[in-house]
This record gives sequence, C-alpha cells and structure tokens, in this order.
Amino acid sequence: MSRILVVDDEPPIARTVAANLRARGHEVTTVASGSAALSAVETGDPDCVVLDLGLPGLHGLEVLRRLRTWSSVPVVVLTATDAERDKVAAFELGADDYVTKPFGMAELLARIKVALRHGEQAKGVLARPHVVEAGDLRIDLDAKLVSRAGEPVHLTPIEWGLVEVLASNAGRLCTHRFLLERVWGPRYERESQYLRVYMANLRKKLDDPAAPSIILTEPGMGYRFVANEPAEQEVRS
Amino acid sequence: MHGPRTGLGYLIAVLGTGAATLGLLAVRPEVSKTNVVLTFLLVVVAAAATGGLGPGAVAAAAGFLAFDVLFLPPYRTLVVNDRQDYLSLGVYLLTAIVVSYLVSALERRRAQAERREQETRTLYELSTSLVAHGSLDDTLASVVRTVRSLFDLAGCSIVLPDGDGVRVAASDGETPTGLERILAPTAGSGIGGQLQPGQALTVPLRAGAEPVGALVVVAGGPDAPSFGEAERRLLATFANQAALAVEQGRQEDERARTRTLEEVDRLRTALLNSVSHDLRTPLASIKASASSLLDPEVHWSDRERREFLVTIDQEADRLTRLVHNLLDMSRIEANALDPRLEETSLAEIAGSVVRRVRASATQRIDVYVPDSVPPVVADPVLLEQVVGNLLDNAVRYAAGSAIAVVARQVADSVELRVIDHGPGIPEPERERVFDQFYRLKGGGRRPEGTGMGLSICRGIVAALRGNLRVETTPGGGATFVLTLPVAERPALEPDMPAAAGPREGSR
Repeated sequence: MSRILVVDDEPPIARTVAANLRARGHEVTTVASGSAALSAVETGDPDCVVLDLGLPGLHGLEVLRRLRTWSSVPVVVLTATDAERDKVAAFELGADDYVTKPFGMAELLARIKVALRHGEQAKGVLARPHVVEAGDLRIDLDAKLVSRAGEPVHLTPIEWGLVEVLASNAGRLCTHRFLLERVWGPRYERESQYLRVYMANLRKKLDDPAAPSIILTEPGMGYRFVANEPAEQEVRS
Repeated sequence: MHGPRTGLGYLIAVLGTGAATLGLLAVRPEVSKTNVVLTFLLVVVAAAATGGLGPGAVAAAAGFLAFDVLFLPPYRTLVVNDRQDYLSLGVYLLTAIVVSYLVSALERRRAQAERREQETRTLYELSTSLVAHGSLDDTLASVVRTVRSLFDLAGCSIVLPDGDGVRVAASDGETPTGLERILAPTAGSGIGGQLQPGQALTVPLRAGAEPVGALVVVAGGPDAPSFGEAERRLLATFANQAALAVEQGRQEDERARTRTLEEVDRLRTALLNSVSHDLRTPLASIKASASSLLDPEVHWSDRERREFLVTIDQEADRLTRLVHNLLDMSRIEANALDPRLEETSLAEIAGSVVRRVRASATQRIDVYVPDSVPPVVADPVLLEQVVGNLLDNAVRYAAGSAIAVVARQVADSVELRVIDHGPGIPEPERERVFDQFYRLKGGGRRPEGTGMGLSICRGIVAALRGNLRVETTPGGGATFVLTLPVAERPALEPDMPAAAGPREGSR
C-alpha cells in the first residue's frame, strides 16, 4: 500500500512497529540513526516517516529540521519524554503528529493512517473531502453548512472558521498556533485565550462540553477533531 | 617638630662648640683665623643636620661669641682691634646661618621623603594583602593580620553587614565590644588626634557611596609606636581599596553560589530525563508488543507471536533490573543499606558469580583466588551484587575479550581484580564512570546498561568500608580493583581443605 520509514534506535520497538505495518500490507524500512534516516528518505521516497526523537548522535528534532528543508513527507514523531517543549518544537519544525512512548499499537497505526491520508491529499492523489461526519454531526465544507441530527446549527464566522480548519484536518492534531494563524491571522498566534473562549462555545453547539467526543483537547498542545471513518472516496487525478 | 633628634642637635651645638673652643685654645698662637672660622662652621653644619634650623642657629651664635671673645684680640672682650675682623665676624655669622638653613631644609626634605616612602611601603603591603586569597573570608583574614602587624595594633577586625545585623568577618587580636552598632549611620570615628592605648577607631569601608562594612582597630599598648593623623590618613586610604575588594569578593561569592545552584539544577534535570527515558523505553517495547498481540485485525504467524513474546519477556527483565537498580540507589542515598558484616570467603562469592555469568557470556572468564587469600569482612549478599555487577560490566564492555578475576592479599586487606582486555576507559573518564547515570560514549551507538551499576557498586563498597577504583590493564583494557578489609580472626586451620580452591580458567 504505502512505503513507510521507521526510525528508532531501540530494536524491539522498530521491529514491533515494522511487523504491524507489514501485517497491514505496507512496505517498511527501519533505520536506527538520524543520518541513516535522512539518506533513507532521499533514496526510498517514503509516504510516511515514523521518527523517534531520542536518537543517539543526531537528535530527532535536528533530523526533522534538515528533512523539512527539502521534503514534505508526513512525519509522525515518537517521543520517550513527555517534555512539552520537544513536542511543541517538533510541530514548529513541521511534524504532522506525535505519539508518546509507551503507546498502544492501535494509536500509532491510527496516527500513521491519518498522516498518510493527508500526505495523499497534499499530493492531490486523494481529493479533499466535501463532507465530514462526526457522530450525528454533518459538516458540508463546500456549502459551509453544519447540521446536528438533521437540525441546522448556526455558527458565527469565527466559529465556522474553526470548524472548517478542524474538520478538514480531521484526525490530526491542530496546534493552538496553527488554529490562531489560520482563523484569526498570523499576528494572533499567541492569543490562546481567544481560542479557549471560542472552543468552549463551539463545543456547546456541536459536542457534549462535559464529555467531548468530537473535539478533543490535547493539553498544552491543541485540539483534535475526531471524524467518522470517511467513506472510501478516492478520486485519482 | 620636637623630637629626640632636635635635642641631640642642641647638644651637638653646645658641646661641639665647647669642644672646638677648648681644642682651638690649646693651639691659639699657631692657628689662623680662617681655620677657626671653618672649625666653628663644621659644628654648625653638624648641629643643623642633626636637629634642624634651631640647633644650627644656636651653634652659629655660640661659635660667633667664642670666635669674637677668645680668638680675636683683644681677648675676653667683644671689642676687636683690627677693623677687618668685623668683616670676618659678619661673614662667619651670615655663612653659618645660611648653611644651617640650607642643611636643615635638606634634612627636612630627606625626612619627608623617607616618611613618604615608608607610607608607600605600608600601603603597598596593605594592598598586597588584598590580592586574591581565594575566598572573601581568606582575603579579609589576611587584611586584618597585615593591618595589625604594620601599625603594631592591639587588635584589628572587619565587620560586615549580615542580614539585619552585622558579623565580624575577620579578626586578629583584641575585638572591641558593641560591634553591632558600628554600622549604624550615626556611628563614626569622632575622636581626632592621637589614639590612646586600648582606644578603638572605626574606619568605614565604602565602595562608591555604599558602606559595605567597617574596619575596627584598637590602638596598641604604651610601647607601641603612636597612632596619629598620618596613620589615620593611611588607614582611610587603604579602607577604600579594602572596600572594593570586599565588594568584589561578595559578588564573586554570589556568582559562585549561583553557579553551584545552576549546576545542581542541571544535574537534576539530566538525571530525571535519563530515568524517564530508561523507564519508558522498555515499557514502550512491552506495550507495543502486547498491543500487537491483542490486535483482532491481524492474524500473526507462530514465529511472529513468539517474537513479540520474547520481546515482552526480555524488556520486562530489563525493566526489572532498572527498578532494582533504582531501589538500590535510593537505599544507598538514604543510607539505608544496613550491611550485615560477617566473615566472607571471596573464593565462594567469585565462584558463584562466575558460574552465573558464564552461563550467558560468550567470552572466556578465568578465576584465580588462591587458598592463601584470607576471608574478608563483608555482607555476602551485597558483595555478590558488587562482584556480579563488575563482571557483567566487563562482559558488556570488553568486546568479547578474555576476562580474569584475581584475588590477593595486600597488608590488612584483600584486593579483588576484575581484569578485561576491552577498549578500556580513557583517563579523563576514569572517575566519572562511578557517577550516577554516566555511560561511556561509544561512537553514536546507544550505550547499554542503566548507567547505575558502577555507582551502586561504589556505594555498596563504601558501606562495606572498602574501596573500588579502576585502572588500566597492562596492554589495554580496564581493571576494576575492589579492596576489602581482612577478617580479624585467623581464617581456617592451615591443613584443613579450603572451601574453594583456586579455580583455574576453564572454558
């Protein structure tokens, strides 16, 4: 299906991740160092990279920085520390998502799947979705309409902006910075309190604010929109 | 200025003139007037040089009278016959006064220069005492010692502010009471002039306008040289320099404290990161393997299932070792090791450890513990752990080379050497290998082990009152040397068979 590069210096982890990906029909290469990872991306042209940050020698963040100078391949970062700084740094350097060790295999596989889909959308292999569904929520991205259990939901322009960004990035983590920049503009990147206020209102309209299941908070990082599995709608261009 | 030298000058003026007069009288018929005048001038010069202008003038006057009365006819009157003699008298008097003035001025300048030189020397010696002596307290101690000895004082102290109060930072000799009030703004040295014996003087230390402390001196006894205006001025000049040194020292102390705190902080962060990484890594492998096995979507082959299970098993062992090590480490750090010291046979311990390690090691391990090696005082369980750690370490880092375990007695202790022929440990890292979480760096490859083994070994060995160090194996490699005290009681009867004989290398 897809070519995936796994970069981890811990052989048991690299082996296990590779076995799972192969079992799902992917073509997997594993390497144990940052420099090997860079040359493997160059020669192998993978569709997705799983990158451990705690590499000996060349640190994972540095690998990511160098990679982003010439490649836009989706990167899912593995991190053994829960240091917020590393995660935030990884996103600023252009990571697509992250998983904290220890992780359940299903979680990592789900993240890789989302990353692959976005990679394909970016390349134009896969059309951007016109409609995103989550629970009883239906978001028509073309018509700019939102309905809940068939009832139309009225949104302010800012709220619509947030929903649009979140839904079209369904499954991916949208960082505070990313949302602020896309919805309010580049000069509002640091105004996190705007975001909190609007997200609270949005949850009241679209989700269960007490136990959210559609717009999830990743503390300190951002929000993740959980959509229903999209119907296979590959439109080869 | 009246001093002993002035008195001496007058004495020379009077006695010198007298002696010259008597001497010249004895040869009056033969001596010329010129020689008489020159002799008296000599006395004037001597008196002026010794005592200054006053004695010079007295000598000149006395010489004038003696010359007129005794050496210019008619004798014994002030009257003279020859009118030319008036000229001689006038010239003599004028010359004598000018000479005594010049000589005394010269002498005064010389004395001044000498005093200035003395002051400069004193100031220099005081400044020398300020030159970095390491810590601020050492510098201050050297300052008070120097001040006291240079001014011959009964005591000298330096008082610095300390919180709300003050503290005596350095002191030599007598310390006056009531130092607490010394830094109060009203306190000052109101007393002027000569300092009486036992009297105290406070000289403020100011860096800029800021008072940073005070120098307190107590004048010496009656025998000590006086402590007057000049000394006061000198001390005040010096106090300015000392204040700068105090200020500098205080800043340096503060910087050093900050650096230490930063270092501790950095180490703590590094330690936490290391533990966090080391705990999460095996957990991540276990979790990843277990969740793979539980995945209902994939049907794993038997070989794949077995691989996951092996990973879970091995990584659980790794986690167990790590948790054990962490617990040992906290026990050592909490001083809660509580060793049960008893007579322990090194041969037995080495034998059992080597048996265990050989089971998994691929290289040759030789053991040589002769019968002549007496038992040591140790906790057998802890000792086994130490020897085991050392041997595991050798197996891990010696890159397949042969390993030897050798024991011998050295005076009152027994040395156990674990010798490998691997890459060895570079000199600068020799001591650091015993640091917590220190791992030798090996060309980009992730170091194995927990980085705690050697640190734990050293902790245990210290609790066993022994010593653990590392040397270079002749020809390359590392040799860990464990030293333990010999058990006091004589070991076994010499003719009894030893529990463990020498184990020559096998395998």
